[in-house]
Amino acid sequence: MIHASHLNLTLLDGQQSLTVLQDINLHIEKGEWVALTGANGSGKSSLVRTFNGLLVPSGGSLTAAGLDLRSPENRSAVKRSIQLVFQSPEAQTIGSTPEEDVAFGLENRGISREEMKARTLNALRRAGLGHKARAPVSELSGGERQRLAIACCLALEAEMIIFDEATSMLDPVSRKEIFAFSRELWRRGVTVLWVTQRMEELAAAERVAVMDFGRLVYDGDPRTLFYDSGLPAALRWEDSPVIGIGRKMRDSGWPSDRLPLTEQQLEEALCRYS
Amino acid sequence: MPIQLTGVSYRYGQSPALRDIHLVIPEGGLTVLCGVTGSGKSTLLRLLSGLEQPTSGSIDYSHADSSASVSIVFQQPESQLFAGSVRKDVEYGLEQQAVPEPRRSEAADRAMRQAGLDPEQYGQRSPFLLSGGEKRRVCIAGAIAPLPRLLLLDEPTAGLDPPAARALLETAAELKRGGYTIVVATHDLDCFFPLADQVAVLAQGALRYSGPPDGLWKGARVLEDAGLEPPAYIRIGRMLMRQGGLDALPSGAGELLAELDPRSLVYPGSGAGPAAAGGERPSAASLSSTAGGAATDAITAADTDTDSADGSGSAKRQAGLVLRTLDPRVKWLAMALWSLVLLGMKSILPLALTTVLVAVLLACGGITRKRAVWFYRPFLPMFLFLWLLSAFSWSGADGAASFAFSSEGALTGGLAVLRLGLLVSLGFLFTETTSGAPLREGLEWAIAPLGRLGVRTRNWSLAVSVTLQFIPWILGKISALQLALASRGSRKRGLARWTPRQISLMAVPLLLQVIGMGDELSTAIEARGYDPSKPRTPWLVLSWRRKDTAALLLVLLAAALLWWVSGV
Repeated sequence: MIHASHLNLTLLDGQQSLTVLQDINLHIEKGEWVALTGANGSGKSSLVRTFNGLLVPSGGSLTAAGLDLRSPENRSAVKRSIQLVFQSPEAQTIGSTPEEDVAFGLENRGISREEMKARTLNALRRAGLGHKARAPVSELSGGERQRLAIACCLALEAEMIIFDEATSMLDPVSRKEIFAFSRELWRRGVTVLWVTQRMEELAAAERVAVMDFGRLVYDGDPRTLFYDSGLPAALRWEDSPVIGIGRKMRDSGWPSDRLPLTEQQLEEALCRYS
Repeated sequence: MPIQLTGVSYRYGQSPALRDIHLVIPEGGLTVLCGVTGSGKSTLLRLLSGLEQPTSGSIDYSHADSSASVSIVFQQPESQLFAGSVRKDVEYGLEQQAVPEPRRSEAADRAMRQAGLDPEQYGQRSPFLLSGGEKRRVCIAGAIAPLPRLLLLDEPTAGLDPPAARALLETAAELKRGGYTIVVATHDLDCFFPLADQVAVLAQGALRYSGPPDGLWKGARVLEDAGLEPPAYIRIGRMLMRQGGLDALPSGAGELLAELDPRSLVYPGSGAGPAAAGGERPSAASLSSTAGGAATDAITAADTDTDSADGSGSAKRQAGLVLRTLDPRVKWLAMALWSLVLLGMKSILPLALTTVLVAVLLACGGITRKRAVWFYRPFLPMFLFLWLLSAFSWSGADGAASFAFSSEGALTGGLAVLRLGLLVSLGFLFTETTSGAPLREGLEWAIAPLGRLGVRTRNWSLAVSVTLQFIPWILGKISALQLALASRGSRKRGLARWTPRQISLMAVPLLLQVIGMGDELSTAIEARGYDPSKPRTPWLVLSWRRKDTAALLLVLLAAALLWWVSGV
């Protein structure tokens, strides 16, 4: 789905040129669910914005959804298959009602009005907003606005959805709900790139990529990341209670592949043997 | 002396936001206020800060100067930074309290250090260019500079990355040690519970628990019933106690690890657990299968309860339907034409007639009273201020300055203000009864001929319709800025909030927020694949019906009549 090799990105900031991304090699296959993390300013958002053609790499090669993103036509075409859900719930609603908002993304797709209506309503229903299709968007909660953004991706039949810290401004209840929704979409075949700062979401992923100062410093499974890479200490991450106990378990002789990442795994491990 | 809340209630319009709160906030302690979104946390903070008054009940600060020595830090730092440099921003509150130099800069230095900012390094920097965590620190420094008896923090760690959040938490702990009485409203229970002397749990505006955090774990499921989850160290602690690996619930993650009996973690050997060997499922599946099930249920539940809450509003909605379904072209024309006629009005009669017309349309438009109050409230003080400005004249001649009221000035000024108010009302009426898509189609139709001159009409109509939609957002930001200014020492009400100094203070942060919003929106528009060069399928096709012709005639008639009356 995404093939980035030796990707560089330099932006001009007044007279100075600013290196944002340096030599990134990242390959995401169709049907994967990948978590991407890194401190604020480490280049996460810039990286994912190159994937759907919003930013143009200054060097290296980038193919997304089979399109070489060095050409402007392909950068425009890739927005058909790769969609972004942004962080701010307010700053990505363009229509004044959910149905107008979803329809906005469909107006340049060369489809008939009947299909547009059908796709819009279907997408809103799937996102649990069917009953609010015509409500003013100002009445939607933060979580509902993010579901609306997801509905826009669904209406566009996106093959891949990138969530760029899409839950960081939500309360815990909505945050879990959107996370679970992304997992559900993934089970139905959508490729997901989940950008996050939350340790428990990294621990729950199959694959984690970590950025630091514009470089990709880790790409692999979360167990190795947390227990064997030494990165959490280097990046000044604080261990979650589960990982803290896991480290003690390793000291007590547990093999690496049995160390827990989630509370449920911890409970299973201790339950089974006690 | 503790702060005592007795039977405190608060209503927003008709709906109660807080009900009968009895709470004692111990001096020198840290109180954590928790509850789901909408449970009343932020309202309670505002009442404590004195920015709002309780509808009933009382808050006893047991000090004569009461709420003047309360500082509040709001959730979004962007809405509460005003000055060009960090030092000036921190000094703002002191300046308002007329603290003289050099005490003022000493206090600012101390506050910056306590908030974790080196005065040498940060003092001259612009607060607007700092990172999210640093901006929060500037806000905190500004809040503690006047040495408040009570410091209120609303979601201080939201949106920060983990190292920044942890550093902020350390600052909070430091402030607590420094003797400040602190109340934190937060969702981040894992971080703040270990620091808390007292926890207050709110659900639907009522206080469900207040007391030490460990009291929460003794009996009933208070947190769970309020829609919250206990912190991870408690969830794991409970599990370990069931397993016999822990004797008592820990008071934080560190204690959990320290108290854990290492014998309970001994690896039982490779033969003991055949079920786990190799066949372990990807972890995320297990995490989301529980959460996912619940969330999907919630979504379907929300989907089935269709429009159940609309009983009383339905009649109004019906009335508004006529205005809402009119062709947007009629409404655009009405707004443009009436605005032009309005601008030419000089006397009372035509303005009075227009006022009646606008009032009738507002009443028919199905606009709720709450919405109208919300819209007009920020404008009223400004209108009053402008009116007073024109009614009084200031003459400094003959060495004896005099302040004179002129009835003529009051009349002409009043009419000018009324005219302005009516223009604003027309815009309000138009955007309230027209959603984005018809607004955009109507405008695009009207400016289509310009397309032949090379004007990019599609971009323009999109830009105008998006901008009009964001007027409410801008109004919201203005009131957030006013609230923040009011909280920083200058507890000005009514007119005083609109003095030139106040307005100039708000201009820069407001502009920066608007630019930021515009930037994010244009990225979102581009990301959705908007392309003005491609053929477009409109969501809405304009169709002119008979009632639109009737409305058009009425609009023209009204415009002609008003024009004639204002010419007489």
